[in-house]
Amino acid sequence: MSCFNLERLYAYLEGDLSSAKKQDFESHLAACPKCRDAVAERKRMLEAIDSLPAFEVPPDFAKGVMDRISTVPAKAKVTIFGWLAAGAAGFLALIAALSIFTLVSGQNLIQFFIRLNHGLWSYVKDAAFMLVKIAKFLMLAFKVVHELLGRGLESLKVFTSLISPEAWAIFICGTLLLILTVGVLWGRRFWLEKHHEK
Amino acid sequence: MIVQRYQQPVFNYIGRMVGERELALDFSQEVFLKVYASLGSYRAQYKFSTWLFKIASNYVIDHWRKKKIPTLSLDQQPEDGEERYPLQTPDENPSVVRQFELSELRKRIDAAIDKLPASLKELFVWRHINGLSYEEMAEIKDLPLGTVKNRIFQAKEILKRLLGESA
Repeated sequence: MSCFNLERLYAYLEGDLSSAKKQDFESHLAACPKCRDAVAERKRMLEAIDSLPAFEVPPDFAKGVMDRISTVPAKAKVTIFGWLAAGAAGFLALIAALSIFTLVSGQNLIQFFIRLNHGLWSYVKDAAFMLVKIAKFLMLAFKVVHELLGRGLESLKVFTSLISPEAWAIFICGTLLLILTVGVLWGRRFWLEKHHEK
Repeated sequence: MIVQRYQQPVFNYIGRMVGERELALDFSQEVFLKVYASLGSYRAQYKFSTWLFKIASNYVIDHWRKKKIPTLSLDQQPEDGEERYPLQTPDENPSVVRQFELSELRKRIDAAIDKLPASLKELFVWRHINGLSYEEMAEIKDLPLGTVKNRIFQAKEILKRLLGESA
């Protein structure tokens, strides 16, 4: 009669066994004092664990948490009205700033915008020219690389057409033989080193 | 109210994990503040208590990391000869548990729980102090169900061994 393992024993104590397995286990218990002792001992331990007193929470704990939560700044929730108000305020601020600028500098506002527009436009044009030049340079570089690769491939084709199939076979066999020899020598050296260590 | 409903399980869990009442109170408060701050990320398809215990567990693990207390990752196997308990048959040793009175046994169990490796202790506390199901624990720790069951089984056997040593 062989005893069940401890995992089965705990499953029995926790009521996790199917009725057939439970019956098997209980029949074994009836005949095995060692397992009966093991079950009784662990049952008592688990009962003691389950009856451990809880940590007592102070009565003002929840209040303390809520007090601390109330000091955390709430995340502002921006509504559509808020966004509209912010937009209107920004627009008014811009009008005010432009009016002050006109009064202080004595410049005509329309003339000022035309000059500003010309300045910005020249920057945009310069940037566009620069981008076109970079694109042209990249295309040229691509063409050169493409040409070089094409010529390289052509040379390789000419070279391979000069070699006969027999020569190819000899070359491949020779290469394989060389790899095999190097492998055997390397393995032997490794084996000798290992034996030497021993 | 969330705090009132969950203060006892959270405090029980953290209290058993850190072992000091005052520290456990501070930690429990911090956990509820974190819960409050993260409420926006809570998804209703998960059980609230599972989500809350995940936050509490991360908080406790962070504390151990800062204090450089060695913790055993639940994903790795325990060190050889230390915490691995093969599925053995009942031992031949005479009873060590039944010789104590219940109150004495509780005291000894309290002390022995403190000595459990952190990762086993966490699962053990959730199971036997908080009464979480194996499925809930597997979800909180993102572990296979079998691993969780095995770890709790190991924790119980270590506990029994510790009780034997203290006898």
